[in-house]
Amino acid sequence: MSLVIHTTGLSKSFSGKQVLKDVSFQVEKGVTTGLVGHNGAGKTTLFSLLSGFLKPTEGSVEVLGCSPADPILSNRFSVLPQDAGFVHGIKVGNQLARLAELQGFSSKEAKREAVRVLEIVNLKGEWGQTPDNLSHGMRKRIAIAQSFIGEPELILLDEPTAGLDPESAKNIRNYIRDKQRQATFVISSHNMEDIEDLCQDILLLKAGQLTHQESIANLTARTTVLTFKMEQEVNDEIKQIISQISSVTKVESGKTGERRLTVFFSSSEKDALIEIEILKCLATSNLKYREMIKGERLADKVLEMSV
Amino acid sequence: MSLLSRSLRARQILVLIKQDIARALQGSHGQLFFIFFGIFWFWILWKFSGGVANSLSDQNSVEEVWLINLVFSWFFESDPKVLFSDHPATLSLYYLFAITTMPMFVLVAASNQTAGDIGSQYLRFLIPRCTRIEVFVARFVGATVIVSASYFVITLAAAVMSFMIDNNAPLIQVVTYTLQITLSILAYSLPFIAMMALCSACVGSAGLSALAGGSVYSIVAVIASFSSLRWPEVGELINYLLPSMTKSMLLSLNLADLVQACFVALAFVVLYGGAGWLVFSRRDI
Repeated sequence: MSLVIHTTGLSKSFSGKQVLKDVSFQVEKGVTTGLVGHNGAGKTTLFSLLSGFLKPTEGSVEVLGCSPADPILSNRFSVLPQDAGFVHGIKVGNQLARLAELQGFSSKEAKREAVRVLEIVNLKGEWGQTPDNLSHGMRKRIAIAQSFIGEPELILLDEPTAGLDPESAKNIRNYIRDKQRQATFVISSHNMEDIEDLCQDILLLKAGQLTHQESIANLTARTTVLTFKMEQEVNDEIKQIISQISSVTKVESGKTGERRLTVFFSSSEKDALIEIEILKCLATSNLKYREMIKGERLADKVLEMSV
Repeated sequence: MSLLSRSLRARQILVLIKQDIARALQGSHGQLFFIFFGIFWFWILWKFSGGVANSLSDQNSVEEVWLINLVFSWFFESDPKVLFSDHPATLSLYYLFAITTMPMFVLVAASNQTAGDIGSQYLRFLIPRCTRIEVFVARFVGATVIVSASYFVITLAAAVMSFMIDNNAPLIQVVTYTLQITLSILAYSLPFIAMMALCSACVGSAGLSALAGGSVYSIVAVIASFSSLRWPEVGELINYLLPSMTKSMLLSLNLADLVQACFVALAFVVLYGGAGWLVFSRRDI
């Protein structure tokens, strides 16, 4: 087992206020990991500690076996910070080339590398623009592009798709998916669809503490659960109807307004038949649904675990 | 030693200096400095082109010399007669103006060392690629290059003017005096740039950094002046904290004093730069 991140007893306080408490976890090489939690849970602080932007009040961080500040990591890990801005007045292409030079590329190669990463985010044509002339979404894509410079072994992405249009977000997700064999990604995001889509493990932070580190497959239990987005509110009567199916072990509903119905059933060789039976029951009871997902939705599960 | 060489790589520093120079030339902060600096010196040198320095070196008028000496000894803390009698007068007058106005320009030119990186969080793009000490040293060297290059161009223009206006000045004297002035200006500017490295590491914007530098410099200078009225030794001691303390050494144009001033300037760089590094290395970014 090769670890890319190893933290022990990590704590961080700002002006006496503790925002991260005794966080210990490991990330294995090749396992894309999502960092999730409510606003103020300490995600960005943890992310900044992993990136070397902040220094821990207590505890230790190891990234690829070294301290995040170790110069040996120069070309081995990259970061997409949340709010970092580029230098005003300088062409974005030149800025990316300069960052590539800092990663060890020669001046000529650095320019080629800058073009390559601009192509990934579909902004090759904006090489000559200064950051001031680009929209927020475009600046975000340039920031994403800088994290793809070189061949980093570990890529830390803070809210990679926030503020992007659907097409750009899809494009970035595709690129991450393609790169998952070559690099380990740690993605901090509020977008559970992204996390569910891209990650194998999640780290859940709650009030500065790490409460869960689990595989998403286990969390969402895809084999014995069906989740429906209903067209009407799920009340006790509906839950009662579904509970009558012999293999169903538990029925849960979301909060008012969520219109979520989660049906748990006992695992057997005839899972597909049970699923059909549940669907038939819904149809005969005239209960219409908009969406059906095998397993639980990560967003619902995270919400449940965060309470 | 190996840790220092691992953390302070010449290549990273060179790339960052290149970036710093590009930022100064293309960014609004740098352009504002160059415009003000250029206009100011164009105006001053244009005034000098009328031969005003030569009339100062002509000591026939007793009243004029008395008045000029009074003003100069107050402003420049030095007797200027030597400057005008033994050296090309126009270059000497330029040198006096350069030394006197330098703090104002350096406070602006060197204010954006790490402050801009901290404020915009651009440091977050740099830190995974280079160490903090590399960023700090490169920004200091970058600011020194920009200030030195700006003054070198103006000194060269003043030297050409001096050669044309000061009829008695032989070329070799103008050249050696120009070199001496260039070195003196560099020695005088270094403590100010180091002081701005400290201010820049403490705040998150170039404007605030310039304001902090100006305020600290003025307050310490005023405290030193008032202290010396009652406790001259204390006033003198406080004066040693000011980056301008090498001024009288540099204006004497004595080689021994120049060498001493260079060492004092280096001591200031270590003192202010070290304090700046302590702040920068510990701060969250």
